[in-house]
Amino acid sequence: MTPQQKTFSKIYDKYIEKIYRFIFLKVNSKEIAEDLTSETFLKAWESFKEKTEKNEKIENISAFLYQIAKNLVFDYYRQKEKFQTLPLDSFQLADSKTNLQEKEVLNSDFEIVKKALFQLNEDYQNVLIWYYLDGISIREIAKMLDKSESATRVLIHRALSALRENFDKIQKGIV
Amino acid sequence: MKENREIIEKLRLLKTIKPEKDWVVLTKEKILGKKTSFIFEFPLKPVLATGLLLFLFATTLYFSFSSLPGDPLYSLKKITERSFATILPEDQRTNFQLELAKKRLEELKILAQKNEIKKLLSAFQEVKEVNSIVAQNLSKSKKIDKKIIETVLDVEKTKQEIEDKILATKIGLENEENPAKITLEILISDLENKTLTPEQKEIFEKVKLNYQQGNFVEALILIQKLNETNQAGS
Repeated sequence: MTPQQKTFSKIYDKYIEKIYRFIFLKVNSKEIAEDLTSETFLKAWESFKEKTEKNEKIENISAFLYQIAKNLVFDYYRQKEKFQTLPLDSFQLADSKTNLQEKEVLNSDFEIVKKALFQLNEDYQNVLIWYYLDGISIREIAKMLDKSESATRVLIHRALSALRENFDKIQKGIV
Repeated sequence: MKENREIIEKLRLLKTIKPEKDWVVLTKEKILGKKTSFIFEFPLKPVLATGLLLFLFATTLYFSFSSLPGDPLYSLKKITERSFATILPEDQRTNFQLELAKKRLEELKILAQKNEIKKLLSAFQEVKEVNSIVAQNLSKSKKIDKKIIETVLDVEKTKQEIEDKILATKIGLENEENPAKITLEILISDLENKTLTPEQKEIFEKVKLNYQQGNFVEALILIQKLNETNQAGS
């Protein structure tokens, strides 16, 4: 492996699960998520190679990857609008040790929260995924959104309230 | 606050969403064009392990070639094609990508005939993506030879046939995603600066008219005719 490949290999290992999950939660389909994730990393690799050859650096690799992923998801939905189809694949849980009863409870909360998140607007979805699932700091998210840290905190707070509201509605069978 | 804690806990359940390990390894290999370290997980001699790995890799790759958009192995096929495109000389790259554009249309046709609606959406995206790459390359290089005209015409004919006979709707490529349109724009602007015989001028006017009306197949056929008169005259 060349030093360039080694560096990108580390980036890939660090972000593959996060980017896959980020896309999966937005497209709700394993096949499409796999496709868009591989496309994200392919584009990132091509860009990374080009920049290193010019002795340039990618300042914020996580922001860079999420931006590519966001654009690809956007293109996917733009295309989807034209054809009005909705992929509805079921989710698979990674932990197979959980017993059946626990799994049922987990699955039901899992499905509801997934649906509640899916119904939020893009900004709310993004900040919740980044902050609570991917563990990105408020400072980092603020940079990615080009907002102040306090505005980002408010956004996360509002997103969480909206998520809870959606969750309750779905649980009560209102939506 | 308690309510917030509860919803955060529920939200964190989504952390269990993970890609399949095999897919992660294969995708990385394809992107970087190298084998990754999981070879050392095999309790086999390195030579045997390498052989086995190569065999598995070649088999997977072989099966990926017949995969269609939305299939698990499809992204592998795409990455292989794209990696191949990057090693081709520049003059052959556009033609190769045009062949890919035709291939994507054929895949779309198969899925439409099978009525695989969910996969069809991915297929549309693939068609748009590859056409966009070709169009960008054509715009950059501005070099249109006879072979390219022939392949663009072939792709455009296939697209039209699928739109008319299978989908009964337009695929809907944007201007910057349409290789036939870009090709004609380059050729027309080139021909505007050339001295033409009265017969060639007449054909050229028809080319422009067909281009304006969006009849790209007809316009490209007329361009070929124009080239033939040029060759006959020289």
